[in-house]
Amino acid sequence: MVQALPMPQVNAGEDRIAELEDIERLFARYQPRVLRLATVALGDADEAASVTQDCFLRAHATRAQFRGQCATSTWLIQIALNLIRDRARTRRFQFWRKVQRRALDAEAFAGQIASAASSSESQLLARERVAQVWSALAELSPRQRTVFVLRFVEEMEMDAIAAATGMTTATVKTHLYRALHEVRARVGSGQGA
Amino acid sequence: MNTHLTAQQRNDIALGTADAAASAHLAVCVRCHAEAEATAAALASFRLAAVRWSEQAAVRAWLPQSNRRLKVAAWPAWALAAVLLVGMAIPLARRQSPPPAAVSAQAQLSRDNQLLARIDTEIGASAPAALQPLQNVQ
Repeated sequence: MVQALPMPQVNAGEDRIAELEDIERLFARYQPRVLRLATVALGDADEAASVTQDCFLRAHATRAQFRGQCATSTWLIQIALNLIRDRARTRRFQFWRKVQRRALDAEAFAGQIASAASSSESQLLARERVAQVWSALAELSPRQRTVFVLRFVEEMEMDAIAAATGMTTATVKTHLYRALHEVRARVGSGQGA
Repeated sequence: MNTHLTAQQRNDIALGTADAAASAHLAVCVRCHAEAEATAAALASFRLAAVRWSEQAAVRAWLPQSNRRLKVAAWPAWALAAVLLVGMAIPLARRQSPPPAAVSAQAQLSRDNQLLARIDTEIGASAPAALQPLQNVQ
């Protein structure tokens, strides 16, 4: 009787390490993810673009330290979070953040909805909702916004967010509650208007 | 009496971690259901907008890179153009400035003129230079 050949073993860790060798491919694959995380967390498109670039350069430069113990995206997010934390600490950024945050990207974000919604009325409603969420995020700390993005944009599980951010799951949940409180307050007030 | 969901229960619904009691209430309460729907729709719209925005921004970020590639790929054409320009410029420059041979001929002519002028002066003098002190004695 002929025995079935064993399936080739796919070593995810080695694949992940190999993925880091081709920086252009890595950039093309994960750049949007890192960029939107940085943009929402920092509220500054220029800083976010700079963080994104630094993130991939650092990932490539330190790829020898990566053992494939987690997903490549998780490792990149960890690098991005460190860079975001560093940027958010700088005095210059603290100053400009307050000036620019409200105006920045709220329209650019909401504008993306235009072609997605079917009727002009639903487009308008969707744009309004995006603007409401954006204004809710403006009231949160960078850390709270980061957790919010990882959960509601990247759709990561709370345990994964905790692992990526170094927070406990309870802390992640607390940040999410705070973010949702702000979102619900604005969406609710928008409904009543 | 119909009590509505608490803030924490609403948060749990948005997070997808609501318990059975909250889910059951949501099924029968129009107000809580509408509120949960509105929150979910806002979060979904924001996600869609963020993903689309970042993908467009990522494409824009790639464009300068593509331009750089085009410039790099076009370097032989630039090099050829530079060589042609230099090749055209050299004869022009040579035409404007006298060649080294012409420069030395002009210098020689000048030296000859100076020599002739000295000879003329000496011939025109009443006594040779070597005898001029004697003229003073007279």
